[in-house]
Amino acid sequence: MLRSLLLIPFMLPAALAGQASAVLEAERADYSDWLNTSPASPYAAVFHQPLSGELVFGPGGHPALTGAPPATLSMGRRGITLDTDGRTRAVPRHRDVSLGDWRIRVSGSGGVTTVTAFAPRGGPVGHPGWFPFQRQLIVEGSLRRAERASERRMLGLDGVETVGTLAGEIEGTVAGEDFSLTVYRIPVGGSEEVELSVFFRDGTSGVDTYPPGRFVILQPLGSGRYRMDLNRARNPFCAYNPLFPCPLPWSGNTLGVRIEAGELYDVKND
Amino acid sequence: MTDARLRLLILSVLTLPLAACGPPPPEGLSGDWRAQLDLAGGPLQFQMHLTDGEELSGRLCNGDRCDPYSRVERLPGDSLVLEIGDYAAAIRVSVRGDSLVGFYRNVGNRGPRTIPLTAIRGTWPASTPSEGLIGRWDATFNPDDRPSPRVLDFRRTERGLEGTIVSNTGDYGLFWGGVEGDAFRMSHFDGSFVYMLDGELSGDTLRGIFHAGLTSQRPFVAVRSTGEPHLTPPTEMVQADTTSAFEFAFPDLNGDLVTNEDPRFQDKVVIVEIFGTWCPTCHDSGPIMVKLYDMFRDRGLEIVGLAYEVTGDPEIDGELVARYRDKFGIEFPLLLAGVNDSDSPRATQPQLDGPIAYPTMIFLDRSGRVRRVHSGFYGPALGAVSEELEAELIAFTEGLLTED
Repeated sequence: MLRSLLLIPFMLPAALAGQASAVLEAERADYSDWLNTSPASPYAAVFHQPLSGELVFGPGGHPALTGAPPATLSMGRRGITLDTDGRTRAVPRHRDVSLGDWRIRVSGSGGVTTVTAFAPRGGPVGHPGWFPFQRQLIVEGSLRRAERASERRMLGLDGVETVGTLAGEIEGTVAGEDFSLTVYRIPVGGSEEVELSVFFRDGTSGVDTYPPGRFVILQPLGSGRYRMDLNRARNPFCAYNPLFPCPLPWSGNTLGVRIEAGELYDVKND
Repeated sequence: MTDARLRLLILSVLTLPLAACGPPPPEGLSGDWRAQLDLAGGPLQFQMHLTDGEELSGRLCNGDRCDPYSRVERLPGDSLVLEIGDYAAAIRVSVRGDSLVGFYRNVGNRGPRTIPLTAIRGTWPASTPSEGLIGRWDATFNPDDRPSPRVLDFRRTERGLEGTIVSNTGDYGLFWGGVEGDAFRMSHFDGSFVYMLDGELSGDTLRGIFHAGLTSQRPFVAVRSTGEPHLTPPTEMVQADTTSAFEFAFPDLNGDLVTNEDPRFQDKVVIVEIFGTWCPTCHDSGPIMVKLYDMFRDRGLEIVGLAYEVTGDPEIDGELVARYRDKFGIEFPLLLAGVNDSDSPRATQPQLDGPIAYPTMIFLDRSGRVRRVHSGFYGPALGAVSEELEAELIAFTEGLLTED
């Protein structure tokens, strides 16, 4: 496998399209590797629920987390704490905390708190499939700013509820058709970052790609112009693991053409 | 390294312009490298230094502050991996002629993320900022939606324009960069946080963009500070129980319990510092703690650091804290107190109330009672302000030591 990869420099044309494709392939391989090996991969999640009040893990609790010590996760005036073996630990948001061989993550902002539990990792669980790279599906468009930056509770790519801010509509042309898609600013939990996100459906949704839609992040180009690389369209975490809630399709965000780019989904085996 | 990661490295090299291809330089890789991360909003500049000997080593520099890579590995095909252990991140580059090309990679909760990186030999040139940019500015991030106050503090140094951004809970660390006329671009890249601030002075107003990560951009507008408070100082937001001795009881790096009742703290002035190895500002306060300890330990000062770390796993967190201890040559005890967020110290420190910033210093008198809580920290990025704070902390500590 590696030997053939090392030959790639001699086989590939120097054209920019080839280089962009190679970078994308590498990103996809890295992402697949993360999905299959990371202890915090969505494949490893065994529990994902809103937290209100108290949650008991261990024998007799839900989830049981076999082999983990009995523990109680609580949300109170002094924040979120995990009590286990007579010891109280504070639990931060967006960072994993160990509980035996298991991991617990508390996420969410703006009033809703979500708890995810991850099992100790076993072997590989599968690899996401992708359409081949298509340069013409890297499109550019203008963002028509929303008259009012209204806020809305919404699910992000990771199935965690957050507060998105309406940014406006990105307008352009793809596959010969004009489009206008709603864009929200969605904060990236635990960082200073806010992503311009588009959750869209198209002619492949429910046929070759995930039925509720796919996420793509806009890259600013300056002067109100943005790049939307549909080759980087990704499934929400609910496509990997039904524990994660799926965002509802964003009203009106449907492209009337087949976008044969980005992440695939095996609809037949759903 | 997995096949997938190696493939990522190999393939990233294919993005090189052909003009940059060629054999590695005969003199090796030693020297300064002028590097940049290619963010969507433009290049974020930083400096690297490599030492090419029997073993390859290197430093990542943000302005004049350089930290060593935790590990440098040479891979087949003139490729390098420069690991940034404090933040579980890495720079992966290939040598192409007199250039390095690759990417910076870290892992978030939604998977791995990469930012393209290039470097050529040399150092970034300094440019002289105009007088109109220098000083303090009251800024508003996101002025059109969800406005949020910040203070920008700019100064002229031998490296060009330097400064920082200050929020209610402390500063963002050192930013440095260049100017062209009244336009400026400043960067902060310490191996974890990827920040860039660019803007332009127009009349008496600064307007620009704050960049975070590869694509995130937030507009800001700023006017010159009048001296009136623009932020809520974190120190004013924290209250402490001063009616009884301040209590703590946490394991040290050997797993032994250390408490405020231990003999080493009795009848001593004690500084309890809440910190985290992941917190850039704590890396600014660390040397001040060491300085205070060196100055006053013989006169009855003790310091204890309470680390709030990433995983809550004593083994992993212990390694990070031990590295922090060794980096600054810390001789006072560092304890594993919990995991890191603003709620954590409050949960484990019931005698404190209010939002606690990292770092927070709690000054105890010889009776063990809280005499002062200093939450947040102004690091060297704030120049004279930082020096004033240091002098003031020294004077306050000395004052406590001289009390009966």
